[in-house]
Amino acid sequence: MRIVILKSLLSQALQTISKAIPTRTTKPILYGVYLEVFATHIQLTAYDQEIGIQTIVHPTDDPEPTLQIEQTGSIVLHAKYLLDIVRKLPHKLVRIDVTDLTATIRSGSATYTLNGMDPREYPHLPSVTEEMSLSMPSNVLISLIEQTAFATATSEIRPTLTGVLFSFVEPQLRFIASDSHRLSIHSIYAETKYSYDKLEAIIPGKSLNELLKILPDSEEFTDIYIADNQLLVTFGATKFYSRLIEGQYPDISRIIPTTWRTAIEVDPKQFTESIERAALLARENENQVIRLYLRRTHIEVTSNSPDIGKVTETIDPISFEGDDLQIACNAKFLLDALKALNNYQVRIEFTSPGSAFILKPTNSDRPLHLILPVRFGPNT
Amino acid sequence: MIDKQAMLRQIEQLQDRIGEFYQELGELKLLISDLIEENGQLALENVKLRERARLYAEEKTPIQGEAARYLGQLYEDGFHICNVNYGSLRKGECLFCLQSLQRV
Repeated sequence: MRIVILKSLLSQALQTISKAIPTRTTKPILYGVYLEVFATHIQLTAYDQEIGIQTIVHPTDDPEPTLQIEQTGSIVLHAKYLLDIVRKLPHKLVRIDVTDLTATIRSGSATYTLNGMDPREYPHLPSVTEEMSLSMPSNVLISLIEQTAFATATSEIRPTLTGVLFSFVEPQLRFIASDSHRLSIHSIYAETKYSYDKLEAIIPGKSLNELLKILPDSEEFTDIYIADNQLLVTFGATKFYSRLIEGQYPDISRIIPTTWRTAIEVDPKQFTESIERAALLARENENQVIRLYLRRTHIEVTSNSPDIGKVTETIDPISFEGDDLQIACNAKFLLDALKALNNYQVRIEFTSPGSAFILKPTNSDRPLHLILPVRFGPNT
Repeated sequence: MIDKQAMLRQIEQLQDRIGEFYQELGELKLLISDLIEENGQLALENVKLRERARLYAEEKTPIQGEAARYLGQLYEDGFHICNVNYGSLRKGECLFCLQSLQRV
């Protein structure tokens, strides 16, 4: 194979697929990017057998050539090295010549000779039938992920909780994530090509976080396909594959409280800063417990770490309804939820010191974040 | 003639892989020690649960309220009673358990 390509174009494509290059694996070929040159375009593939990313680069009609294909062919090259090399090349054009399993990369006065791997050994991407599909603007998918993926469990003990439940019941698409101490839900109305009674899948939280890094923050439409055990998301010239988690997601239908006894409205930035200050002394204890004293006149945020000291801060809520209440909770959970709701005025509804409370935008029920308080005994 | 360059490359690759292999071995060792610890914890838990199961079996057929009370007690004793991870040790409160107990 022989091509000449614009350095920036190649480095961008490599950057995209590098999210599916494993940091450690027992199969060295997976460190590689599978580079295929066809008569009309080139295709780059990376697949760590959990996540797969494939992207295509077409020549453009610009007066200056962006991609010239001189001879077709394929090779697998070590992706991290290739990316680092391409980034540092001196000239804006890169020439890649491959004979057998050796690639010669020339740019300006620099010449690299890289040992490649055999493309025949590269694993095939999963095949996904393109029948079950949903379409939505890329930035909508981004918000669905941003509002939920952080709440997934990190421990692998219950695999289903490490994923986000993707649940489509026409016409609503819901993303749900929980680590059993907190739960986050976001939903949108989605368009579908066909009609489905119900479409459910559990997508690994890690995959969604990688997807988030390469999704364009634009109105451009993305298509989401769900097959038996694979997810495929396509946007622009890129395809993103992920394994799905098998199993049944726990029932959450009765978790979300419908009534409340105390409700406050806060400015998320101001509230976040107060919680962060209180959390400084809570880092030591396992649950990063901080306490909130909600009173009609003001809210008191406190944290007490017997070895280190204590902190008290008062803030004025934008509004307060209902009874006074004392509650203790994990500062990190609260901060995560407030960060997700950064662009909204936030309403928090509490029922009792032992029951879950919810954070949501003032005038809407989505996105919605639910946090279970920490019960405090006489000594804490 | 043997291609010395190729041989050198091969040896380098082999060396890299041995390095990785060694690292992986170290990590597996840590994993094993974690598993041993977990196993001990599970064994203890199993004994406690069996004891509870025995007490439970001795009781008369429980009525609805009694079953709920029993589950509540089990939860208070620090075990999960939700179908997500029934019977395992509980760290902190659990949404799914509380849902089962209708106490969310």
